[in-house]
Amino acid sequence: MRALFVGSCAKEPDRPEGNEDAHAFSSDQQRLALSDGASESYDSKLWANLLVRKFADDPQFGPEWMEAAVSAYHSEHDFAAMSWSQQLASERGCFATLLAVEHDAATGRATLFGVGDSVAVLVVGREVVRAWPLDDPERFKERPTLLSTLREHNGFTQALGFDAASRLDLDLRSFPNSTLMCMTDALGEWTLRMAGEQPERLSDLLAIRREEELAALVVAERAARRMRIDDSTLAILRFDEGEDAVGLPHP
Amino acid sequence: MSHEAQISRTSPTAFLFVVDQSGSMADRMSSGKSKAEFVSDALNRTLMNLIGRCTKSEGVRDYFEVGVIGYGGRGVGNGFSGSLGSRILNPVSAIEQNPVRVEDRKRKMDDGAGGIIETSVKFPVWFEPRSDGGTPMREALTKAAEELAAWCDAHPDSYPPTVLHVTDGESGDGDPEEIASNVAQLRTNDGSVVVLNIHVSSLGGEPIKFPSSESGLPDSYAKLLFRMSSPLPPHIAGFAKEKGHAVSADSRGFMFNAEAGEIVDFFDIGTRASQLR
Repeated sequence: MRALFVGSCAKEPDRPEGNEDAHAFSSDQQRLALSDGASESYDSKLWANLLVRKFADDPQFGPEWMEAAVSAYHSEHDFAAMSWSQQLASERGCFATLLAVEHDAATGRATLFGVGDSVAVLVVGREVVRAWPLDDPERFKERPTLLSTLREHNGFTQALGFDAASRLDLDLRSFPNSTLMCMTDALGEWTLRMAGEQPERLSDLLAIRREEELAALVVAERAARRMRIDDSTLAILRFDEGEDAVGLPHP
Repeated sequence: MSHEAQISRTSPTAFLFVVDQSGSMADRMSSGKSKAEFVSDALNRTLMNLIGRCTKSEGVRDYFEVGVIGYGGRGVGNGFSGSLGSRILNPVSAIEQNPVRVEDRKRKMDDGAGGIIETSVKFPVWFEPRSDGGTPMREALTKAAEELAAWCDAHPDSYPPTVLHVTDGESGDGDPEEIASNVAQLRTNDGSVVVLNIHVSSLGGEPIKFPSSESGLPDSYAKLLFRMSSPLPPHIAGFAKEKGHAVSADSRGFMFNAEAGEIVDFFDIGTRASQLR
């Protein structure tokens, strides 16, 4: 797996420090995790970063994995030292998506893991051949189920059927010359809408190689009211032989 | 489409509470608290929740400006006091910084081992209960119109302000309908001001929630408050539905004969403006 581009445009482009999306690669670069921290959360930037770093290091998601992530989050905050408003906000919890892809070059397969409305879109040429876990732009209007720093909100990860619903195995040999784009919800909704209405616009997205180019597209589409204003992260991945893009922000 | 603007620090929205503080607000509700005490508790809790929604680890983001206009025997005045008392609409970070006092209240919670423990929680107070004199509703709504006209001029692209008017009786200074209509005609580029009315009762009558026409309302006073109320914007109607209320496309932001539970719901639903970013 090689990354042609990974980058992000903050909801307020002049305040990149407020970007609550996060991504991380495993040390062998064959696993990418991406997360979108919910805006109405006390410290979702930290929560999203913890989730992607943990998944990049250890993809064995389960109850112990989740408990370790929640504990790591709480260890970063001193509840007793917070003001009443910080305590109140902290008690509301943090919420975030988690989308990950892992490539096995030996078998030619990619394994996806997804919770929430960050999406992976597999493209051959300019045609979307698979979108997951959401494949309809209308579904981005629904309230997604997210991973939380509040343990009582994570029961769904232990429910019957979660493992099957949260994983997808892709045989990439069936899709030669395919490109996988992983993205957070505002960009995902736009991509799936464009795939139906103006498929030529996918070329604009696939051609992005620098963060400035992503920002230009996102800002223009926001101004045209075709894209929601939200942190927008894009990863463009290929599975054939070749070089990684030069100068990736977070390779 | 209206009422869709995303709310940000550079494009905040406003919530203006207009609260009846006339003598009849001293009547007791089924909980034993007076209507004035219950409304002030619910309002303080709503302010807390609004602050909680805006609080990030790095500080409080000013997504909202919030004001309270009280009206009663002392006329019409700012419901906030101290350093918040010099203006009606204050940014939420200033409200967070300036409660009148912070009370320690007891809360029962799960101890994680099957038992219940009582813990102390901080309860900031900004708005004190008051109940005396008459009901200068027209004057209060006129004050609200003045404040919101200036606010809309200063924030042309923001999600429009929401007025949450709480009353338990008829206006004592003339027909308020025309003034309420004027308030509801104020607008930003994202739509008109949303006027929500709740009539608080201690008589135990059946509450009427988010009606869609005047026809089923019991009297001319209820019909007046219905006409003074805005149609619910779709996302607020959606949130009311999520809370189990029967809401149609024609529902107005109005509750009649509301008891304690309805007041809490009304504040919660009414302060669910568009998406924060």
